[in-house]
Amino acid sequence: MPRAPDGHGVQIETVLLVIDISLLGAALGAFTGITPGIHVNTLAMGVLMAYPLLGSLIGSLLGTIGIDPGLAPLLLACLLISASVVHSFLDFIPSVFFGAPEESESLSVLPGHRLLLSGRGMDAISCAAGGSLIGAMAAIFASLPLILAMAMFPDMVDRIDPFIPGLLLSATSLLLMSQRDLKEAEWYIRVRRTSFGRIVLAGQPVPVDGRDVALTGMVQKRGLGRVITTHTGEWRLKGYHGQADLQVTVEGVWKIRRARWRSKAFALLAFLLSGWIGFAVMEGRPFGAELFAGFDGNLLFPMLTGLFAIPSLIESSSGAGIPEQEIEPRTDADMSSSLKGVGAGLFAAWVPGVTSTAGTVLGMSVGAGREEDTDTSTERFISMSASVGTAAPVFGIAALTMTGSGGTGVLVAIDDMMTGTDMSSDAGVRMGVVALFLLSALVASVLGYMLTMWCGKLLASKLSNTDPSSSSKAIFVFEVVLVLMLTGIPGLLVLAASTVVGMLPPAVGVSRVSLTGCLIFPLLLSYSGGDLIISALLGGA
Amino acid sequence: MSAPIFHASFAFVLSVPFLRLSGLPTEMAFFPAILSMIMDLDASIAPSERYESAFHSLWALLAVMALPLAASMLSFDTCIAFLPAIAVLAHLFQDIISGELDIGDSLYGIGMAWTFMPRLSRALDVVSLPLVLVLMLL
Repeated sequence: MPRAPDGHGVQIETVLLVIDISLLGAALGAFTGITPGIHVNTLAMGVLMAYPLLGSLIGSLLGTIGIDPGLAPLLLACLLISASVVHSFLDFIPSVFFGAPEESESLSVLPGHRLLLSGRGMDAISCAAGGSLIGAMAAIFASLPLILAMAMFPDMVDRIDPFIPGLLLSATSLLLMSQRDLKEAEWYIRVRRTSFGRIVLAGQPVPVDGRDVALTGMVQKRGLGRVITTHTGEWRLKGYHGQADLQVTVEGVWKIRRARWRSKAFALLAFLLSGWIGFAVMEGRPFGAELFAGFDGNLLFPMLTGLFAIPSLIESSSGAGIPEQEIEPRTDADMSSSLKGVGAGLFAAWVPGVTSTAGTVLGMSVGAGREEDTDTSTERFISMSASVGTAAPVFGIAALTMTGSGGTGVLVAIDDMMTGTDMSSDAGVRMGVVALFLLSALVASVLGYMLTMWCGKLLASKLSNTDPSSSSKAIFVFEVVLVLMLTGIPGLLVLAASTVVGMLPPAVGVSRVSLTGCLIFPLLLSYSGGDLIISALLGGA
Repeated sequence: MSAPIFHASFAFVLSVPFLRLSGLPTEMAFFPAILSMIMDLDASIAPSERYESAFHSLWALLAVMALPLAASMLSFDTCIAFLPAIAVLAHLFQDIISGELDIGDSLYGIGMAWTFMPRLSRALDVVSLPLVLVLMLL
């Protein structure tokens, strides 16, 4: 790598080239980020496949302007880093406006869409853009001391590795424990005696737990149980063995039922069901692949679309319409939640197998239980998940530099391109390379913020006062066609199954976060060796 | 009132030195951590009896305290049997000093207003979470 004349640092031409190539990378990242279904990893694989051609082309171009052609791998790596960072900013936009999530944004589809339906889509975008910017900046500035710390304690990651299953299990427990029952307490009457006499009450009966009660009214069927209907209200009966549709007097005791376990039990069910889909997608044999397997074959896309996007599209297609959107955001990202997201992003980037979603779930559990209004918690949540999504790729760069292994397609492509160059072997040069990588991330972060806000305002003004049913149907058809093209028949089957499971949480009133089982459960199985046992039991390899 | 994650992290922090001394793998500290966290489930399952007959009761405490004795009689690893006791004691300690569980009125029948120490409770919450990371790295 060209050094400055004094032998230290990096030449100014190299810095300018890195900034230029970062601008190009930002444009590519903006395209992949805003287009539903196209991931930046696909771009990285394309660049890697075309690397022999692109590398020699860029090398010869550099040679003609008198710069070392050996910089080509570094520049292509910066292109991918910039694209990856900008992608992590803009991928929030389709999740809010079109309900089409990627892995890192899967949790924010519903909160973002909720703000859109209350005319505050730009608030969601502003929180996400700000959260991503805070996440990127904090990660960039924390990366250098982190790399130094890693150099002093090289086995730091190896030490955490044995704790990952426990951490994931704890995160799952926290996820289920934090489910709150939205349903009000329900009063019922434990019946002791029934008669056909008549009791006339002067006013509304006042239920007190354990107090005796006597009411005259019409007993009717409600589902599997019975209720007594009086002129003052309707009360559920327990222990009534008589006929329905009769005017009777019941005597018994008031009891209160809260069913506080209900939301936790349903959250566990949603977690396990989505987990099984995730396991089938990651470990199973794609059914129907022999007919048409699609051009990409990555079944995570239809799974996440089915779990998180299609249910909200179905919901919004019968809604009242996208209201007029406020173009100027009223709120900005929450600083503390965004910084919390940086910690979770660090965890997701450095710990193998832990995704951004798992990191977000862990981050959410810190401080869980705080009472706040829905809008504030939505903004905090969006800020944090956006921060995790952007901090993770930035920390991934530092992890790649120190450990030589990358957890994402972009980092694998960078590693492949840089292998064999003096930038990957010489420790001094490596620090210079890291500095240029971080510079590229810095440029991309600023551009990503500006692009996100600009695109957000553009879409918010275009979608104001539009009928969601037609746009939702159009997006629905677009998603299905995209799934069919990219993942073929197996993708359509996964989409159908995950849509059914994705509709469970709103139907039973639990948080959609429990659907992150699709990513966490297969990891837990893999760490415990359960995946091999289940595969063997089901006749797999 | 401590959030579930702080119950988990405090139990983890208390368990690690015990596991190190007993020669058991430190990763096992997650068992008491998760146990301490899910003790609050009794607020969902038995809301009106959680201090009398559910996980927060004297009976639950006595049962986990007796576990090591039972384990030694059954030739089970006695050290592992101490982990639930650590989890329950850690959880109850946090509940008592945060004022959620008033032992003067419920368990022991003796007034102990001095056990309400909100500052210590908050300090434990704040310190135990980063300590978990430090203990994992050490």
